[in-house]
Amino acid sequence: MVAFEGEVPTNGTDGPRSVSRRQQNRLELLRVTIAEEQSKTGANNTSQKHKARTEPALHFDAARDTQYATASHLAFEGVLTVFTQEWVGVRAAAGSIPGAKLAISKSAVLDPPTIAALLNFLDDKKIHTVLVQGFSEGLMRAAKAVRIGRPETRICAVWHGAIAAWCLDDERALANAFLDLASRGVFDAISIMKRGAHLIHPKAVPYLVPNLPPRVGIRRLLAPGAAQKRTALFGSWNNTWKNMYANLLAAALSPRIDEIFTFAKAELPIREAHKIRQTNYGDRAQHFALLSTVDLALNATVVDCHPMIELEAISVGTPVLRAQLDLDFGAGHPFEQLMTVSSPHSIEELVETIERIASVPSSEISDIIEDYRKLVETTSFERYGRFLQEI
Amino acid sequence: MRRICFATFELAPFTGGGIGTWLGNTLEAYCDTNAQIEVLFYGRQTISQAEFGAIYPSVILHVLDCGRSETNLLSPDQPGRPAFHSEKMWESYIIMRKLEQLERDTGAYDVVEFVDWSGPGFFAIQQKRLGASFQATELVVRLHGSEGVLRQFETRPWGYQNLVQADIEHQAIILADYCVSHLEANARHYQSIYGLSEHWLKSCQIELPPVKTAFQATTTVAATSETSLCFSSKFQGVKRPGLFVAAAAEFLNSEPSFQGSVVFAAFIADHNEVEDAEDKVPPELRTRITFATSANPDLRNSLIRQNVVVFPNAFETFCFAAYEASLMGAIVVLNERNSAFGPGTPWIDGRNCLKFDGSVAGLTSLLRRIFSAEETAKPSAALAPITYEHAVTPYWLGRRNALPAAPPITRHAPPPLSIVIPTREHPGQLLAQIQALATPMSKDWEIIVVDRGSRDPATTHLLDTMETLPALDIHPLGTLKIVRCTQASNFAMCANRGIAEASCENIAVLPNRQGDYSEFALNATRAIASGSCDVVVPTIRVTDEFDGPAADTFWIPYGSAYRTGLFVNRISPGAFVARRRDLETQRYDEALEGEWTWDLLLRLAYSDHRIMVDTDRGIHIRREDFDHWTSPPELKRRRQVEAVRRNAWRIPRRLDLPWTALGDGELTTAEWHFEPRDVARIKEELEETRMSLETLASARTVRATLRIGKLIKRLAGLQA
Repeated sequence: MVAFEGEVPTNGTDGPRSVSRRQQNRLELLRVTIAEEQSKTGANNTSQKHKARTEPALHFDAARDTQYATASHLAFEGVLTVFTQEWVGVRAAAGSIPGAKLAISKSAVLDPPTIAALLNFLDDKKIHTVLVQGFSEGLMRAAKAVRIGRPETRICAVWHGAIAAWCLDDERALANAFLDLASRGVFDAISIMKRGAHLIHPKAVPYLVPNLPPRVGIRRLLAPGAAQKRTALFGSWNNTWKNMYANLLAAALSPRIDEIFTFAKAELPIREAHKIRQTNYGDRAQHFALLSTVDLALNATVVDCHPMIELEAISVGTPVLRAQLDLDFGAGHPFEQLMTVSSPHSIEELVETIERIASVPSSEISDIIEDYRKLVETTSFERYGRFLQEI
Repeated sequence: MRRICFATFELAPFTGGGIGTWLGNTLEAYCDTNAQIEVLFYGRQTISQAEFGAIYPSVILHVLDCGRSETNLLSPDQPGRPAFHSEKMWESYIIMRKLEQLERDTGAYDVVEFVDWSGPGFFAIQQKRLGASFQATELVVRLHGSEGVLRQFETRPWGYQNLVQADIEHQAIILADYCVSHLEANARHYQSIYGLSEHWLKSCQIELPPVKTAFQATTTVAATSETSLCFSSKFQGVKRPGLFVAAAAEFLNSEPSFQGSVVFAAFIADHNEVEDAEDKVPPELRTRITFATSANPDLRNSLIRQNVVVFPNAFETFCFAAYEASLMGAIVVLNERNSAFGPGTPWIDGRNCLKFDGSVAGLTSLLRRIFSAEETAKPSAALAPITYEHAVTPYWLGRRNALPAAPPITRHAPPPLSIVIPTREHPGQLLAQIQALATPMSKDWEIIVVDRGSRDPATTHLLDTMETLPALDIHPLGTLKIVRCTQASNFAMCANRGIAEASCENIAVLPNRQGDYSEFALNATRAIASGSCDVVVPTIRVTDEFDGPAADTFWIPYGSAYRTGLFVNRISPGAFVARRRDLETQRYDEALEGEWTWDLLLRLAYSDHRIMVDTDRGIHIRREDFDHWTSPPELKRRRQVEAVRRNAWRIPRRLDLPWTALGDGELTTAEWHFEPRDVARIKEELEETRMSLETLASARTVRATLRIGKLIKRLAGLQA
């Protein structure tokens, strides 16, 4: 799960001042380590300013976790969504969910006052259900504390990682711990974000619980494809399953794309490499601004669950070059038919799909995207409504 | 029936002081008129409703405890007490909120009257001029003696608190619907000190206040060798107790035939003045010069009515004590240099008072003549008590010299506005800001983005996209222009470029990354278009990286900070709305290296432009950006301070710069409040470093490593 969730750091650093991705990761790691140690030693109470700049181990209703949430919905009344601070992908997914939020540091140690604060929060907000998104040691401790401290509270948990990632020791260990909590009754119901994975555990529901698109509030300046210069964005990590080079190659080779933005450094052995421009992720607002002004999001990945980059793109009306996600809804929707490749490894198919997307009139493609966004949102609300009621 | 509310911190008989005396007399004299009189008391003393009702049965009392947080008056997103560095600012703010609550709950007042001292009306007047509240109410300031005026006659140093106080009371006097003065001479004095216009003077209501005495004499007492000399004013620098004691001592030493005593029967406003007066008494006269500072009112009245009462006061707006003394039959001696005792006032030398030239020698000489052995030489022989009648109809029942009221602020379509957005990078915030502004936007609005050499592809892509937008019929914006400058340009150059491109009468300068301005810009433009003000600045909420708004990190501007603004930027960190013609006259100074907005708005303030603070529509600025606008390194800041002052000095202005501008003020304010920023920053960094070290030292891995190191050393020692 680690490798899948740490897509892009959203630590609020800005373009021209930001350091390299690797440096950012190190800084983030150092900051988290210090925060954790402070939470253990109680050393973070002396400087107000320092405290303000370091995220607390338990962060309730942080602005970053609530500002892009969809409007309140009956399914999430009395529900607290809990997730890991450092898993930015899952955190972004949790950020789209309405209602109360709690971001927990991945290795947070819950001392008695912290547990008391958590239980008081549940009481104050009249929480009857805790929805665990993703997994980490911190989340495990919080879930156990809630089960012991408020045994009547329902706890449902969603595993966001693909089974293929269990090749990683850390990921597999977390998956085992996750399933163990379900077996021991800490979790009342679980969802695994891959079709058919419910066979793994009796408490797993047999349907997918898709992520919600965020409510961004940005109107596009121009409909996709309406600008004279057509642009695309690859907005993920450069790693094996994100398939960055295949996406970039296809976009660069497509005569329909004039300029390609990427957050990761890319070197292509082709003449069209000049189309590629590396930019900064900045923060989520900056990411949304860029996403809303490009004509295509590139996300034909090798392994994925329900990627936030796709949901973010459809939230701002941007089409997505995508691979088959094997979802259990939306098959046959024009969005899927138009934008999905059968093989993310085929540069030729990727180029053809880009051509196909670009050939659709702007207004028509906007309607397709909006219709699909509504489908995802409706499905997500309906599935969450069922999942959170599972016994 | 008309409704009037007096906001006050003094009220007789519950408190001492001239303002309390005036208000007590006023409530008593006009309680039977066709008006509902109410009092909003915000002083420190406790006044019980029962006692108040017994003394003023027809008056309604509202009590405001400014010392408490008064959370019932504030919504969670409004600044509380910690947001205000100045106590007087806070008082003015919470008084405004209390009056808003009263307006909501009980309906609009016809008149709300504030005292001038400490500027309690500052925020309420701002709210009215911004169209937020009090639209059917006349907001009035009575000239009792402001800090800014009184200190012209005293030798106190400036400090941060009284700089702010002088600033807000000054603005309340300028911006009130009109002022009320007991004497025309006093109004003219204010006009001179504050450089106020003839229009201001013409609108000023002049009316003699009610004076109440325990006893009314028909004749003035005759001076004999046993008659005492009395000082019945307050111990306060402007009342000149030192002059009185010096002249009295001279007189006692030079006139051995005089058998009377010298008595101070005065309230204490300043304990230093009491000590100074006591120190000045020569040892041989200690038994004849006495201090009856705690005299009860009856004893004080009997002392006054039988003796010579001296008022060496350098300045008064009225001086109730002098009128009371004369009416009770005392021989009243007045400083003729004091405008309240001068021409055009009821005081006539030789008829109802005796005047001296304001010097010790002059007073000594006059006392000698008063107590002269020759009856014919006594100037007091012809004196009679003053003939005095207060205004029969107070101004709130029938205003004289009424000028046309300001037009109400319209709520119709937004007036045309050019929005200049200087920016560099940060495309996310730029797009969000533009889209937020589009909400209240009309087709008459235009946005001018001035980019200072952005290089990030995401930014240039956004600018390219915006630049190539077609006729905008697919977007609700009015018009959008992109102006591209190079990185070599500074903020001032970019802003001036944007202003030059603007076509609307009003301009909002809204730097990128300073939050959502849409509501602020809309309301400010309406207020400026209505003519009720010239510049509007927002209240700032400084947000943290993770938490969003933090309740205690507001940055409250001081409006036209005439005095404070000569030392620090307390006007605006960047955002404001103003008229284009003013920004074309007073352009950003492109030669500065920072503090451009401070400089520009201070020059506008000094050239008679009224700067309002919108406390209802705050904008959010991230801490790092706020620091960028307001906190350059200390050495750089000091360079800007010099230039900002020089610029303010050079422009044509009616108001004299305070003498503190010569240098002492900055020292005072820096010591008082503004810690040098480099020092603050270094302290903060040291603290962070210390915490990091502390954390690392207690980390399990470090502790384990140290233990292993010790173990290795021990093993090595054993082997050796």
